[in-house]
Amino acid sequence: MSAPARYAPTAGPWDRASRRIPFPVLVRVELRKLTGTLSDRILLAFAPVVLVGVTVLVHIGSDDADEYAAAAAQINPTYYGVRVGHVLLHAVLIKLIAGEWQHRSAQPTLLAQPSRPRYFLAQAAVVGLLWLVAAGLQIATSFLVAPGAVAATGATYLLGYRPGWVVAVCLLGSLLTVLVALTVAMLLPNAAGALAVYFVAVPVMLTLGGLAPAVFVWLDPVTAAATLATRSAVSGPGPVAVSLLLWAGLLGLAVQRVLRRDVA
Amino acid sequence: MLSVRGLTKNYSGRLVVDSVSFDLRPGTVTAFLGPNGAGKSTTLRMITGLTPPSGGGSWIAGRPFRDWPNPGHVAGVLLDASAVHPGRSGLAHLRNAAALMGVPADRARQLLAQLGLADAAGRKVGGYSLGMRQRLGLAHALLADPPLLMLDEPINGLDPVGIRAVRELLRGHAGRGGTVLLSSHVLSEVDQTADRIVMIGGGRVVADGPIRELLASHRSLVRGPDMGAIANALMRAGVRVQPGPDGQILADAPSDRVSDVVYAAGVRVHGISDHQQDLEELFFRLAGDPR
Repeated sequence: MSAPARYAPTAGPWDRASRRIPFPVLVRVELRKLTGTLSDRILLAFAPVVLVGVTVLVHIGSDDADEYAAAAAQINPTYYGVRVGHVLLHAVLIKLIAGEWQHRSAQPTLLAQPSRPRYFLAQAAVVGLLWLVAAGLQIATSFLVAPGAVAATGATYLLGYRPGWVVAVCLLGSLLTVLVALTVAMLLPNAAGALAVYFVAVPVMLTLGGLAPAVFVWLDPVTAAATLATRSAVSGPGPVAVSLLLWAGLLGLAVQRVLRRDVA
Repeated sequence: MLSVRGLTKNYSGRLVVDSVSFDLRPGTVTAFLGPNGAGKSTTLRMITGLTPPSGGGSWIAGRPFRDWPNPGHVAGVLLDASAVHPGRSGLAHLRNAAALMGVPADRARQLLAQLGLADAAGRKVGGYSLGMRQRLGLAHALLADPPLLMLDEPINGLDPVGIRAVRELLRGHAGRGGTVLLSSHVLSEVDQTADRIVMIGGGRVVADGPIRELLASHRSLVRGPDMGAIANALMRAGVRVQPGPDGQILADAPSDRVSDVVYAAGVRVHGISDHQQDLEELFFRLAGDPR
């Protein structure tokens, strides 16, 4: 090990230290981290397969024209795709955010860039990109798979008359589910623990939604998307407002934790 | 360069760091010493904004670390060599840090080569030894060539060649006008590297000053042909004595006073020297609960 040569400075260190690194650079670094490990890359490779696969599977399970009699029924596979089809994308996101705290790699990041709000916003920008990718894939899958699946049962394809509605359900639903993943990742600074909680929460929420829909609709993070898709068990704005407030509160708590967490 | 004033940390009523204050000046290597749990790492984390202080503050060139938009250019910090994602490569880790500091990406590879990690650059950090992680942490601290280095136990896990290289690196940095704050438990290494000591015990600063000054015991070692006569003369003058190393007498007085006493008593001596306590002795003397 020899003594390192000095990095040839073009200006004083104080000048360089006074210049803030542009925000897109922070986002680029977080994106690099998103694909930084082999397991991240494997998950990202299989995430679209699962997303498309879940939507196709739900369509395959609906082989009767009566099941596709209404537009609300035809959007059902899209709705379930949004609920459970994005889990691998969310797993990468949880690994990125919770893993930074678990492995304490947040420490060198914050030593290089100490503003926690900027750090949080850079990660939020990555979450936003993942949301757009997930929503885009879901929209494309819905419009490519649904017409053939509906036609195969002999029913009339109705979603083609309301494409904006389908897009809105995909955008809103995938936003709400990705925010759940973000909340879990920020609240639990341990990747394994956060993944376990998330992968338990997804099927438990589905089960509770099936067993006691009129009760769970008040707690379900996806109630707003379900209401938009006309799949809510309780009509009216009440459940949407309560669910949004509840999960916005949890997200706010998670953000506060990240901003104040002791980096040991 | 670095001013720490009244830094205090209270965890649920337990005072971990209690009004710690010190200053670091350019061109010096300061050892930050203290037993385990004394509050050294907490102090370093508070200086760097990773742990919010309960009171007090710290400033690097007049600004808190967190208020510098790009602080890697003013302070290179190594707090914990294992605080790296084990699934990423050493090169990827450093390139990310270089991007965050606005340093050319080539600097990462250059530093890895200079710190002897060129062959391991593409390997996952999870497979690195402790010594390799220390080198990676040092590379991270040196990325932007900052004037201040704050290193917590940087020689842990390093082999003798690595330890010597770190010593030369730190002395060279101070020689060029840089400032170093070095926390270490390896007192022999501190003795060879540091100019100053800030020692913390029970969360408080118990010693702060130049290392030679702190090591001076204000006691003397005396030897002569009749040790009994020397001891009697000193005791008659009110100087406490005790057996010293190599059959000498350890007198609890500075050498000029001892010289005057034995001369006045007409006792022959063959040598009087200032007694220097070693760093370990000083450490254990100060490490006890100062309160």
